[in-house]
Amino acid sequence: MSADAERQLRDQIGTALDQYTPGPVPFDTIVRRGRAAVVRKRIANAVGAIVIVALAAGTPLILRSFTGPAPATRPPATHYRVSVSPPAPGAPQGEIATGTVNGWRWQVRASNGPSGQICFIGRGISGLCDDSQDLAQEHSGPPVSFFGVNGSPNPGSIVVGTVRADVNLVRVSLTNGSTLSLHPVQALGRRTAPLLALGVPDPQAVTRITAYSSRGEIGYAIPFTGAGAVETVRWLRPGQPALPRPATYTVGSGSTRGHAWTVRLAIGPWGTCGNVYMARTSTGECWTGDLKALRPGQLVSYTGVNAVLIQPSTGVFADQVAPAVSYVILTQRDGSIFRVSTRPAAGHRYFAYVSAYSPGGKTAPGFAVVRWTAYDAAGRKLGSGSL
Amino acid sequence: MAGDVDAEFSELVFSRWPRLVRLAYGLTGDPGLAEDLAQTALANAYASWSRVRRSNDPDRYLTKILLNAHRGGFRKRRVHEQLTDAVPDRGRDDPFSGHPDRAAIITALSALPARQREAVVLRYWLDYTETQAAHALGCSVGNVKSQVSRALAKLRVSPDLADWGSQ
Repeated sequence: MSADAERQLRDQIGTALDQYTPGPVPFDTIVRRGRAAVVRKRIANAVGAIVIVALAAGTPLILRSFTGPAPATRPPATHYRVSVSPPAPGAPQGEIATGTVNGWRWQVRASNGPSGQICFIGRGISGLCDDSQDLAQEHSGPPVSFFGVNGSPNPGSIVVGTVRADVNLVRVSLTNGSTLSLHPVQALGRRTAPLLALGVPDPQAVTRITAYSSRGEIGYAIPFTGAGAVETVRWLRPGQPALPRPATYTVGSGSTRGHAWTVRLAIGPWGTCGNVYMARTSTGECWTGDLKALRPGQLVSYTGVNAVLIQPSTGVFADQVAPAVSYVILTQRDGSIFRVSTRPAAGHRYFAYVSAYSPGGKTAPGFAVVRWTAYDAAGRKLGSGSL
Repeated sequence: MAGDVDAEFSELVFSRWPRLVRLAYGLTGDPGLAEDLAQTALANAYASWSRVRRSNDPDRYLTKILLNAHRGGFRKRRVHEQLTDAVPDRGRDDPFSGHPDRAAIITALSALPARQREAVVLRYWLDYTETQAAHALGCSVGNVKSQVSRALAKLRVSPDLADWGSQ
């Protein structure tokens, strides 16, 4: 082929594609689909972990979330004994740490798993895997990230995490007044982030995480543990006050096909976490800073708080509304409508609802609710739009 | 996902949307499918945000996500569309319906096998080198060369591009 012909082809393709004007960005739909994908990924991980644990134990499958029961209203225990030790000389390859929880011994090793995954195995832990790219060595970002909790049927929960490259010590404060010193381990070579692990009776036992480099304290985090995991959402500078004081708001609740659910917002020094609690599980999203502000004129905004209620077809979702919105009428694909009242939380208003969830729709993928109409307390229509 | 991350993602979406839709249009030849594919790719990027963020070249990463979506899940997903008696959004006319010359190249591209179409769009619209295209397509440089060569041979005799390649 001649250079002229190639240039002509390049020009023609360039003209054809460059002059094509795409439609407006469907940002809310993209985020909704992205968050739904995150939820599906979590549930897939949870189901995988449950199956592996059940098979290993030879016991019937116990249906519960990977993140464990929702402990939001249960006071954390304060009388327990825990210990953690770094790998001893001659320890198995990949070992991250060993320890005890009230005499129960645990051990965690990292191992290269199938399909580019890294799996965490050992005594008291199995089936916890993550993509190796997600565990790559980091030189920026949060100092510590805890990404897995392996709890029941064990008497304690094992939490595994990664640290930033410059972190060489992590101190974890617990509700019993003790502090664990964790030394990150480069268990799988320099391409993988240094790893750490600890065992606690319950994730709620963790009250503070402080990260140190060779130069001293980097910062600290008050984790959000209300969803059965240790989530280090927001990092504070050394000495920075841990504000605001924790507060929890219920922004929706209900029962569908025998499944009771509640949506709560937890606001505290960690930032804001929205969580959907069900009988024995919880899942949701945390974000830093203040509650998101609606754009001027915007009546409804997607928060990202969602959870699959009855796998695989029904989910619970929560959205934010403008302060004037008292209730919302939602229209489903089949034309049926239902009304949802909004509830206040920290100066904003939210509503929560159940929707059929079936990935694959075109314009609002996976969601039966296709339209909202917002009303004020006097019943005046304020506006409407597509979800 | 944290609020500050949402802001970063928002910036990425709004800045890359036109490019991704155009790339998807080159791959699918259908405006509706193109926007659907770009949407799918960005939603997948959201779900893998930490990886996108860590990548040295987010554009290349997004391109790869879009190519993967085009080949795998996206095509499967299209099978499961739901019927509704209401039209929730307005359809868009083919942007080139009034421009036969521009439509011709898209029609000719659409007639190519998917792999050849991908190779041509990467090489001649994104200006990828053969090595970059091979990386994005997950194949060897030699494979890219052969795909492009076969594609160009087909385009040369395409009735939609009668005036092209005869010089």
